[in-house]
Order: sequence, then structure tokens, then C-alpha cells
Amino acid sequence: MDAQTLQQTLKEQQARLEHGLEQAQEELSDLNQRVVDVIKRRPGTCLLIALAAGFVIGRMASR
Amino acid sequence: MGPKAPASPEGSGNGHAPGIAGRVDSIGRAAASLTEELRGTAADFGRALDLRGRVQRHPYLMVAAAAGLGYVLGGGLFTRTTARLLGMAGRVAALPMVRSELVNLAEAMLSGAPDTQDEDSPRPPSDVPSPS
Repeated sequence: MDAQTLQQTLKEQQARLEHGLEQAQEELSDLNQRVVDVIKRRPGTCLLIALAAGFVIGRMASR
Repeated sequence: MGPKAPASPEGSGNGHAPGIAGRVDSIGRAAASLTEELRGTAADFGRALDLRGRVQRHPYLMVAAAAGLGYVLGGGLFTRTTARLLGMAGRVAALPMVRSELVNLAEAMLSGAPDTQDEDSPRPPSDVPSPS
């Protein structure tokens, strides 16, 4: 494998990695937005669920 | 402190009945006003807490606070898990400070070494050849 081929392969890998990272970033941002929307639309339910989850975890930790 | 039967307008011929009815009425009215007051106080408390507004402004923080409150209510505060979690949190919080201190130290060592050698440290004897 000569230097030019190696360079080309590395460039391709870098482009693929950048594309994957961008996609992951977009998906995470989308997920974050959806979670925030759900919390804002149903604050009482979300707070109650969080409270219950914390209670259960605290109960488990105390045993 | 007997019942004021003659003064009561709701007389039914019985001497005790109007007084009791009046008292029941007044108790009912007091209970209704207490309920109204409690409702108003609860509404004021809710407005003062402004949970909805706080959730709109800081959704994750409020969910984390609710989970923390549940954790404390569940009895998890004074446990080994909490101590471990607090220790980890302390280490994570101290990490940037330690890193910046190390970076500062390294920068000082790298940049200050030639200066200190030039200004502070004594010059080598003339018969010893200098490395430069």
C-alpha cells in the first residue's frame, strides 16, 4: 500500500467518522428536544414520576 | 352555657332543636369558610412556588430535584451509597481545578525554566563548557 492510497483511506475514514458523529449529535439533540417537550407539556406527571423513581432508589439504597 | 332556644328563629316547638340546628349551621359555615381559606392558601402557595414556570425554565433541574426529594424521602440520605455518590461527585468537581493547577505548573516549568536559569541561578564556572 503506497502513501497515496493510505492517505486516501484515512481521508475516507475521517469523513465517515465525521458523518457518524454529526448524525449522532443530531439524534441526541432531537432526543433532548423531545424529552424537554414532554417535561414541559406534562410537568406534574414528570415530577411525580421522578419523585417516585427517587423514592424507590432511596428505598433500595437504604436496605 | 345552655342552648339559646328562644332566641333562635328556627323554632320547631322543641326547646333544644333550634339551638342544635343553629350550631350545626354555624359549624357548616365555619367549615365551608375554612375550606375556602385552605383552597386560597393552597393556590397562593402554588403561585408562590410557581412549579409550572420553573419546569418551563429549567426542566431537567426540576426533574432532578424531584428525584432527589424522592431519594431523601425514601430514606437514602444517610447511606453508604450516598456517601459513595458524594465522594464521586466531589472528585468530579475537583477534577477541573486539579487539571488547571497541573497545566499551570507545567506551563510554569516549561516557560520559566530558561528564564530562571538566566536570571536567578548562578552562572556555571568559566572552565566548564556550557552546553550551548
